[in-house]
Amino acid sequence: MGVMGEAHRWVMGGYQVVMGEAISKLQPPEAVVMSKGKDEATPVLCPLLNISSCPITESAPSFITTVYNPVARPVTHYVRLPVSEDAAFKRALLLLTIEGWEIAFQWVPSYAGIPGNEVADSAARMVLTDVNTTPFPLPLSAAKCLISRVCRSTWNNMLGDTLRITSMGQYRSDSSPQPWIRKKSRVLDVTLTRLRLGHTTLTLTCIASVCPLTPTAFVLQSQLLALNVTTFDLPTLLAAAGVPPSRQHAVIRLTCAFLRKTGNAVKTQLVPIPKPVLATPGRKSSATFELVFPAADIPPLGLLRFYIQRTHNRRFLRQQMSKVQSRQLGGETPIILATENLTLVVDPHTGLLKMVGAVHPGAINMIPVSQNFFVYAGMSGNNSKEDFRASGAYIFRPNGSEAAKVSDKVEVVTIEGPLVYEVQQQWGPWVSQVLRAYMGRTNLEMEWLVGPIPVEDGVGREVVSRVDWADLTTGNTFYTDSNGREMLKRVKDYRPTWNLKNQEPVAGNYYPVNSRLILDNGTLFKAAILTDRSQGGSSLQPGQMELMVHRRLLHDDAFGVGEALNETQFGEGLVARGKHFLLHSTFADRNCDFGCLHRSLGEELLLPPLYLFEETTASVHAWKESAVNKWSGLGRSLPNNVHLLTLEPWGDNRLLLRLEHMYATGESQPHSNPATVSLKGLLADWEIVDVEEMILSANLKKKDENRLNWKVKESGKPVSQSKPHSRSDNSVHQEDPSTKEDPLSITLSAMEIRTFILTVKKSSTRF
Amino acid sequence: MEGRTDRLEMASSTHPRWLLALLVVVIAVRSTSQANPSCHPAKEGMLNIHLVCHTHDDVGWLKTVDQYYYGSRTGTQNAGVQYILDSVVDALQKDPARKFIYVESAFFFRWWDQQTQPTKDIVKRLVASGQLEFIGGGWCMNDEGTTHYNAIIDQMTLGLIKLNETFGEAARPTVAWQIDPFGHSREQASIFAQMGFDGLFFGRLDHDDKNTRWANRTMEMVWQASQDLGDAAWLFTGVLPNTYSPPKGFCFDILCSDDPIMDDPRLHDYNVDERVDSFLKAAEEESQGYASQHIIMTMGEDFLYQNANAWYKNLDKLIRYVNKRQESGSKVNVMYSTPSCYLSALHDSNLTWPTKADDFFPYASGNHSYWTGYFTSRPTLKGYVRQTNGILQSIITGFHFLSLTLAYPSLLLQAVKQVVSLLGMGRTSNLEAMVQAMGVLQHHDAVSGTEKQHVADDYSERLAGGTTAAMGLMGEALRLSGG
Repeated sequence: MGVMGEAHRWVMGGYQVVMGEAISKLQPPEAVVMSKGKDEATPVLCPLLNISSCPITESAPSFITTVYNPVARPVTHYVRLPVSEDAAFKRALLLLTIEGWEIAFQWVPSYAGIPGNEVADSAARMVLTDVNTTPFPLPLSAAKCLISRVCRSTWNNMLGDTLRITSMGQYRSDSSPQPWIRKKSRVLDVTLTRLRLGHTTLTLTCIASVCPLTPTAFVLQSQLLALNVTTFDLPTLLAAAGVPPSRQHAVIRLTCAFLRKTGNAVKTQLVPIPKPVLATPGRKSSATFELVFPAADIPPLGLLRFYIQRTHNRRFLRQQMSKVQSRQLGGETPIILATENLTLVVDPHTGLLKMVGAVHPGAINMIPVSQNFFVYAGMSGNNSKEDFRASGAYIFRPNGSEAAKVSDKVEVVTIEGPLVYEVQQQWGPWVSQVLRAYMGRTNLEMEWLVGPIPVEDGVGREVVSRVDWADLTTGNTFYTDSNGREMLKRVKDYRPTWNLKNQEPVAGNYYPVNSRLILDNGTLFKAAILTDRSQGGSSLQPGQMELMVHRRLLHDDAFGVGEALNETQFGEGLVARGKHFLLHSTFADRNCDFGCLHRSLGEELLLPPLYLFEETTASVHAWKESAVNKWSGLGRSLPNNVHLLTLEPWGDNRLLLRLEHMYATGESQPHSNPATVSLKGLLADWEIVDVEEMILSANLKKKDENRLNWKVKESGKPVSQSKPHSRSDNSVHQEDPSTKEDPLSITLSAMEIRTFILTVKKSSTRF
Repeated sequence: MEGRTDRLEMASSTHPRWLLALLVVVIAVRSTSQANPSCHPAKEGMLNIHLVCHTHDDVGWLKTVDQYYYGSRTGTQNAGVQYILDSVVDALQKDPARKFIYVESAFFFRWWDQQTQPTKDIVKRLVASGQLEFIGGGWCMNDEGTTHYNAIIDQMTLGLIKLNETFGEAARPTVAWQIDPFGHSREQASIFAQMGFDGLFFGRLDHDDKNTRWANRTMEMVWQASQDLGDAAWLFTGVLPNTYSPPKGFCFDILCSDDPIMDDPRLHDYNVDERVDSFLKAAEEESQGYASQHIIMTMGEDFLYQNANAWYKNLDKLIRYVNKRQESGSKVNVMYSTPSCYLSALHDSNLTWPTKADDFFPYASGNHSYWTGYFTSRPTLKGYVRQTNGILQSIITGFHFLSLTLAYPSLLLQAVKQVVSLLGMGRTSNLEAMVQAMGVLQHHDAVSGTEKQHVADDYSERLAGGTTAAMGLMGEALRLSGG
C-alpha cells in the first residue's frame, strides 16, 4: 500500500484538473516510451504567462501541464493558467450569483490495479455525482448502471474481498446483504460511505471541526442530528456509518493516514484577468480568466503532471468562480480580505493598501502599511556640463521636483475565492496592480503593470512603487542584497569610507536591488520587499521603501550609447509587468523567523517551477496508465538551509554539483547554523563513486588552491591573511577508510558554497 | 618562460602519475615564490611602470555581439574583434618581450574556432610563454549592479572552463578585470576570491571616492568581501588610474590621434625628447596616488588594436627611450607587463594594505551623474534574464536526470550535441546556445539596459531562440523518461 496504485483526482466545474501520481504500474521503461505516440506534440513553454497568455491552455479541450521544481526541496506552488470563456462559460457567468462558493474535494482511490478497485472508483464517482460533481470520464448513465449492478450482486464478492486483502478493508469483515444503505440524503450517503471506506477529508475537516460553517457541513450536521447523531467526533460518526466497534480503531487510523497524506482539501479557482492586462498592447490571447490550483509538494528536482480538461457543466463553474466585486470608493467601511494567514485592509477612500495583518492562533497582528505609485520627471539636458546632465539609460536624475502620485483615483475590484484573494487596482490608463494573498502563503504578492508611460508632453518619466509603514518614523538605515546573496547595510546620505557631498538627494541614495530590500531599524519589526528582477531602490524617508519599476526617457545621457531610453513596442511605449513580494516579521512563526521567510521565498523566486504544456487527445485513463506523472531526481530533500546551486553534466559520467548554505550568520535560527549533507543517496538514479572538491569556478581542485596572501591594516595593527581554508575538519572523507563517519558527508557553514565534481554510475532502471 | 611551457604541455597531454605530482610542485613553487618567470624583472629603487596592452571588447553595446566580432556597421563604430586578435597574434610573434591580455572568452572562442591548426599552435605557444595572458576569462565582463550571483557564477565558469580545456590549468586566469562596469558589488569580489583569483582591477568608482583614495594613496586595498566567509573572500583590489585608458597623449592606436614616436633626428617632427618628458611627467603624476614603487598603465581602450602594430611599434620605442634616460639618472623603469605581473610585483613589495568592507555603489562619475538609472533600465529585458536563469537551471538539472547517459565531455562545449545524439534527438547545439546566450546577457551593456535598442532586440532574440529550442529538448527528454 502507499502511494503506489492510488490516484488523486479533483473533479471540478469548468475545468477538471487531475493530478498524476507515481506511475500506476510497474512497467518496463520501454513500454512507457512505446506508449507515447511519435506524433504527439512536444511539451512547450508558454513564455507569455506573465500577461496571461498561453495558446494551449486557452484553446485545447484537454492538455497536460508538467510542473518541474528545480529546488532541492518539495515546493507547493499555485499554478495559474490562462483560460478562455466559451459559449457555455458565458451562459454560466450570467447565472453566477454574487455569492462565492467553496468546494471541498474528495479523495477517491482509483486505478490502483487491484481487482474491484475500478468498481469502487465507479461507485465513488456515482456518489460524487450526488454532491454536485460530475462523473468523469464515465458517462453518468453508464456509471449509474454499473453501480446499481454492483450494489445488487457484486459488491460483497468483489469489493469486500478487495478491501479485505488490502489495508483499506481492514475494518470491514461482515458481508451484510445491503452494504449501501440509503439514508434520506445523498449528501449524507456520501459522507457515511466515505466514513466506511475510511478515507474522507470531508468528514473530518468539514463535519468534525475545522470548517463547520460550509454549507455542506451545515446540511450534514442537521441531517446527522436528525439521525440522532449529536456529537461529531469520529467514533460516533463511524458508528453512525455502520462500522462495527471492533473495526473503528483501524478506520480512524486509516482516515488519519489519508488525511495526513492528502492534507487540506484541494480546490481550484477561476480568477478574472484584470482589464489592464487584457488590454496589454500586442497581447493576442482569448483568455479572460486564470485557472488557479495548487501543485502541492512538487518533488525536489522533480515533476508533477496534471491532466486538465474543459467541461461544460455550469454547476462546476459556479463552484470555481471567484466572488468579484467592483468597489465603490468613498464609503466608511474598510475593504477587508482575510485568508487563513493574511488580512488585507484597503482604504475605502483611496483604494490603496492600508493595513496588512498576520493571522496567528488567537491573534491578528495588524501593521499599518500603504503602497502607491509615484512618478519622477526625468531631467532633460544637453549634457554640455555637469548641471545639464540628463536622466538616461545610465543616469538617474529627477528634475528636482518631488515625485508625483500617478493618480488620485484608484479603481478597485476585489476577488474572493477558495484559493486566492485579490485586490485589482487601477490608476488610470497606464498603471495597475494586483495585490494577491494565497491561502497558506505568508507573503503579499504585488503584481504591477506599468506602461505605456506617457511622454507626449515631452517629459520623460520614471515610475516607482513606494511602500510606507506609518508607524516607523525614525531611522535612515536599510539593507539591500549584493547580487542576490549577502545583505549590505545602507544609510541614507552616507558612505562608509568618505565624506559624501550629495547633490542628488534621490539618485544618490539609490542602490541596486537584485533580489530584496529590507527595512530594519533595530526595532522588533522588520519588513522586506523581494523582487523578480533587478531594480533600483532606496529608503528616502524613515519607514519607507521605494523601488523603480519602469522608466522611459527622451534624452541621451551622453555616456556613449547615443540614444534616449525610449523603449517602444507595437507602436506604443513598452509595457512592463513584474512582481514584488511583501514580507513582515509579524508573518514569522516558531518554525520560520523573518530571515527564514525572506531566504526561502527568495529561493523560490529564483527558481520557480517550470511549466510545460502539451495538448492531448488521450483520455485521462490512458494518460494515467502510460505516463510518469510524479517523479523526483533526488533520493531525498536537502536540509532547509542548503540551496542546490548547480547540478550539471560535466564530462564522462561526471556531474558538477554546487551546494550553498543560503543563510548569513545570525540571520535566522536555527537556519544559520552549519548544515551537514550526505551526498550518499542524494541522487535517485546515480550512485556517486568519486568526489573531488573544486574551487567555485570548477577549474582547479580545492586542494591545489594557493592564493596570494596579503597583509592588511586592521584596527591599526597589520594582520596577515591566513592560508586558504584548511579542510581537514569538514572535508569529504572520501579516501579515509578509518573514519566512521559517512564518507560522503559534507558540512557547510553560513553563506558557504562548496563545489564538487562527482563521478557517478547509473544505479536505477527507471529510464 | 620555460617553466610555463613545461607546465602547459604537461597539462594538455595525457601524463603518468609522477608527472602529475610534478605539476603540483611546479604550481606550488609559483605561488610561494611569486616569481613569475614570464614577467619582466622590476628594478629596485626605481618607479616601475607596468604597461598593460589590452583591448576592451564589449559583448554588445552600440552594435550586436555578431557585428562587433566581424566588424560590420563601421559607421556606428569602427570595431572588429576578429581583426584585433589576428593583428595581436601577429605582433606578439615579432618580439617575445611584447605582451597582451585578453579578457572576453565569448569573443576569444568565436575567433579560436575559426583558426587553422598552425595558428592555434602559435597561440598556444604565446599563452605558454606568458606573452598572451587571459585575464578575467569569463564569457563576458559581467555587469555587477543588475546581475544575480547564480548567473555570474555560470558565466564565469563557462569561460574559465573553456580556457582550461583549451590551454590547460597553467593558463588559468588569476586576475579579475572589471574595468568598465558602473560600480562594483561586494558579492562579485567574494565570488572572484572563491574562484581562486589573486586580485581584481577595476576602473569606475565614485569620483569623490577616487579623489579621496588618490589623496590617501589608498587606490589599492584588500577587499574583505564577505561578512561570513572570512579571508576565503578577501580579494586584493586595485583601482586603475585612468579608468582603462592610456595616459593622455599615449594612445597609439590607428583610431587615436596622438602622435607616434618620431625618432629620426633628421626629421623636423622629431619628438622623442618631448614624448619621454611627457611620459615621465604622467608617470610621476600617477605615482602620487599609489603606495608602492609600481604603477600600472592601461594601454588600450574600447575595441582598439585592430592594427596592433601601431601600438607595439610605438611602445617598443617608448620603452627603449624612457629606459635609456636611466643612463642619465632617471629613476623610472618601464616595461611590458600584465595585471598578474603587476599584482605579483605589488605582492613582492611586502606592504600592508588598507581594507574595504562595503561596496562601490552607487557610482557617480561626476556631480549630478549618478549611474543609478541602469539599475532599472529596460525592465522587461531584466525580467527576461532572471526568468531565463531559472529555466536554464531547470534544464541543466533536468537534463541530467532525464537523459539516458552521461557520456559527454562538457555541457559547456560540444556536450549537448552528444547528449542529444545519444538520445536520438539531434538538435542540441541549441542548448549550448542558450547557456552562451545567458553568458552574453550578463555583460555590462546587456542586462544593464545600457545598449542601443537594436542591440537589446538582438539580446532578447538570443534568449528567446535559445530558450525555445532548449525547451523543446526538455520536452523530448521528459518524453524519453516516460512522461
